[in-house]
Amino acid sequence: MDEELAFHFARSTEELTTDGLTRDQAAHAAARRFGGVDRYRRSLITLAMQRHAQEARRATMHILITSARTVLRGFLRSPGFTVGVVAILTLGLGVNAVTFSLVDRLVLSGPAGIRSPETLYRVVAHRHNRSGAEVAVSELAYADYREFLTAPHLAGAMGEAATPLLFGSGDQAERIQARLVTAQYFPELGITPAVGRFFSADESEREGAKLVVLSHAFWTRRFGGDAAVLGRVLEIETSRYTVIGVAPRRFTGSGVGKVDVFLPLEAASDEMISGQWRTGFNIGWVFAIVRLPDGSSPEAAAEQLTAVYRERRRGSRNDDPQARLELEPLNAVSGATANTETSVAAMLWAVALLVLAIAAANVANLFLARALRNADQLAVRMALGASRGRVVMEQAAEGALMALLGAGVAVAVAWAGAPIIQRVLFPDVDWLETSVNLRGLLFIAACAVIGGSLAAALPMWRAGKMDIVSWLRTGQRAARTRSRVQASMLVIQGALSVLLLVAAGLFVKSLESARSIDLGLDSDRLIVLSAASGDARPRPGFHDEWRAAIERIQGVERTTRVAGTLPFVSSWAVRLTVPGLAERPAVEDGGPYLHAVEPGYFETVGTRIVEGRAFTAVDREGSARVAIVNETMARMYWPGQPALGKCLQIGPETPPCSTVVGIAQNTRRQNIVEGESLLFYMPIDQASPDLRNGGRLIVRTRDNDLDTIARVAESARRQALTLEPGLRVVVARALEDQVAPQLRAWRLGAGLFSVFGVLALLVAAIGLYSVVAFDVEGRRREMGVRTALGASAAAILRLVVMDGLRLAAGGVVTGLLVAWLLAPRISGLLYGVAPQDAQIFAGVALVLVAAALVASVIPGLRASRVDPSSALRSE
Amino acid sequence: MALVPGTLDVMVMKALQDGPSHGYAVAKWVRDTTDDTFVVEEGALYTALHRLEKQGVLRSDWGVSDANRRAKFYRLTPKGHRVLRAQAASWRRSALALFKVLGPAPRKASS
Repeated sequence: MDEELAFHFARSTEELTTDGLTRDQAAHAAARRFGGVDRYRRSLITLAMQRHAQEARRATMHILITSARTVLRGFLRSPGFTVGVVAILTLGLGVNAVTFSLVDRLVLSGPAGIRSPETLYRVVAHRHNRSGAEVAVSELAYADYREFLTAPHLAGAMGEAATPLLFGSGDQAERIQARLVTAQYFPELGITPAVGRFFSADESEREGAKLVVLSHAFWTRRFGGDAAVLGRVLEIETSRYTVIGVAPRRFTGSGVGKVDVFLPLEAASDEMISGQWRTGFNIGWVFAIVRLPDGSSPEAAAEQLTAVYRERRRGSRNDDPQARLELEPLNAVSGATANTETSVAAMLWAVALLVLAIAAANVANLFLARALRNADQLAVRMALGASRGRVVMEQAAEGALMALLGAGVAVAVAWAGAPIIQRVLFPDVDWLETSVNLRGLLFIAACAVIGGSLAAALPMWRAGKMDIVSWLRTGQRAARTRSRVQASMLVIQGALSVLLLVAAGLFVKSLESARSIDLGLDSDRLIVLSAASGDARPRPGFHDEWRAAIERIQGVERTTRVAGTLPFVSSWAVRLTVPGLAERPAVEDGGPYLHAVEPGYFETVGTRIVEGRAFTAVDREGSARVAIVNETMARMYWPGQPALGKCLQIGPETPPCSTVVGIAQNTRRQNIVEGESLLFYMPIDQASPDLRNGGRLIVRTRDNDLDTIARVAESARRQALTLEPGLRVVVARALEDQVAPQLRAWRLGAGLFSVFGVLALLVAAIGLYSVVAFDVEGRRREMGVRTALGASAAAILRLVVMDGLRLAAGGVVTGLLVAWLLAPRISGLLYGVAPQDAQIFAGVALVLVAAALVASVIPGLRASRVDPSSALRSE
Repeated sequence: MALVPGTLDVMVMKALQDGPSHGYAVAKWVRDTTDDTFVVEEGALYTALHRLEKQGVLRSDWGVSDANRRAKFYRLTPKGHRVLRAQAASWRRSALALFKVLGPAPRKASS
């Protein structure tokens, strides 16, 4: 601009001086003739800038269009390259699309529809139990919760308890998820009812208020969204509740799990738990959520709450001066309140991003290989004036375009696949909407554009100050020995695949080990039944009538009764004296625990008698007192001697001897994975009166079909109510419901790592295949020469395959080494398998080598079939 | 005399009809050809040149003047030629119509 004007003024002044003016006069006249220089200069500059912007836009459009055309041309010329790149990116993006739909609900958004969730916190108590160990407990006593309501430094508090309940009767009956909430719950969370109203504080805390608020999903599912549901009376467990309102859509309480109904905490708890739960300090029943005022920190608030907590307990039986309260965020990913789903989802996301990184590394490799091959064309282009920036941008656009293609397919896959994964892996979570929402789409599109363009252009960009062409040429010359960038990317992919597959193998083995543990009883076909009328025991004879009715139900094989300890349900200890044993060997937290059982018990639950005999009808009240011990007790109390015939004095004071008549196999007491326990059995008729008249019924079904079990459980429950309508609490649970959840962590781990491991392997294999195929393509001439000089097809094949294996070797070896070093870190998560299990490592190595073989054989076969004359002629 | 708006553009285009010129040459051509009837601020001329270039009527290239100095040369694009033809025809028509309305200049009465 200035140069142009300078030229003009120079000429103008010249002309005026030839007309006879002096230089100064000429300069002035020229300026006057021009007009306001500054003003014009400014408008000219504005014009110029607009023009530049216009040109830049046009250039970008041009680049996009040429890139699209390049991609199309490239696809037609070498479809393998394009297909490979798009396939790899689809895999990486697809995994992320699916994972994002999980993560969005569980980690990013959290519970829906809540006001200011970032100021809400869950209260966790860290207490010390009797043996001094510190435990983290999220269920607090109701009395503690009441304190929070009046705490001056909190902006609000609410209480919540969660429990599954039985709803309805007959074949309409179903298990529903209930939240027992205090009256502050809905207003504190900022929720207004969709229909009707919520319960007030007075209603909730008054005894006997039987009101229920339905969740929107439940209302739609069971009542068709009919507003006339208000005022209807619903049968839930053994009580009847009146519907007063419906919660808004998408609201699932303070968590992400499925919710069907909301019941008033105080009124409903009276029905469900016995004891002084409102005032007692040792009954943990309520989850407490508090809201902090703006600007206050959770640590400070926790300190103040802790002070009050300790103060209330001082001097009482529950005194714990070391106890402390902590506040955790509402949707915590880790910590005592984090649920498994959220933590797993967060971990999943990290792994998915890792897989995407592998895919991107793959693609970068491919683009680099292609650039190396086309170095000549590039040199010509740059000699003709193409700038480095333009070349890089073209590569980036090409990569982004291919990535977007892959993203399209990925989104379609996620749309179909995400709901399946949600249902299978996280069945307890309420997934509110379709699998891929707008945020997911944007996220995937962003990943695609960024990842694709980076992967395509980064290798180029690395040329730095150096001229691209000379950099490519050195790379080309070094192509035989692999550029360092390419090699390291292949190593990373291989190593990551190895890591994921090793983890998968370890978890799968853990799962198998855990599943095959002999629990000591046939948990998959047992139902536990119990009935109670408030604090009193049911009338004598009730249980016999109930038994008779149950045994008439179709599918029932036999029943038995047990009081005291029951595996996975309860533990019961009594005073035990063993004459001849001055100091009784003890097991940490392992008993001795008593089972008071009927004679048919062992056959019903499937516990084997290893030595001696089970109880029979002979062993009843008044006859000789007998007992059975488990293998652990026999071994520890009387080592080296037969336990049969020994004496046990069961009960306080000095009762007569119960003679040991049998040894039962060990059974688990509470967890699938636990240490040994000292367990012993006595006939229920010889037990103390409170055990004799109570206890639970065990029903053994003929087969372990889940529907049969559910049906039998429900029928049994109904029978109890028919016989004794005044019963308050009737529980019918499949024992498997207590056991199966313990396997869930391993099942999740095994499933997830297997899927991701296979995916990572697929991506790495495709990457290796592409690199080898590309390499072979570029060496066609060489292959032709070799064949012409007499090399056999097998020799060429061997050459290519060895190359491929060499490429993969680095990654596999690195991966195995790193896995070997890191595996002991996760030994805490495993069961029944050593973290450095040789079988798994060898297996994974074999799988990787096999994959590398397959990936190299295909291009190798093609190379061996190259026609030497055409190969030599081409180029 | 002041310029009727729009005439500057057509004059600039006409100036470049026969070949490329730099800005100073265009200014000189306009002055000479109209016998100084139109007083054009040369700044306005350069604005017109840049604006026409933005619209795609002109194209500019850096070149060397006859005095071996670097100068920016403008030339008409094919689109520019078309626009010039159309605008020139339209101006001629208006000038003719105006001339018909106003009639020739009156003669002085002779004695």
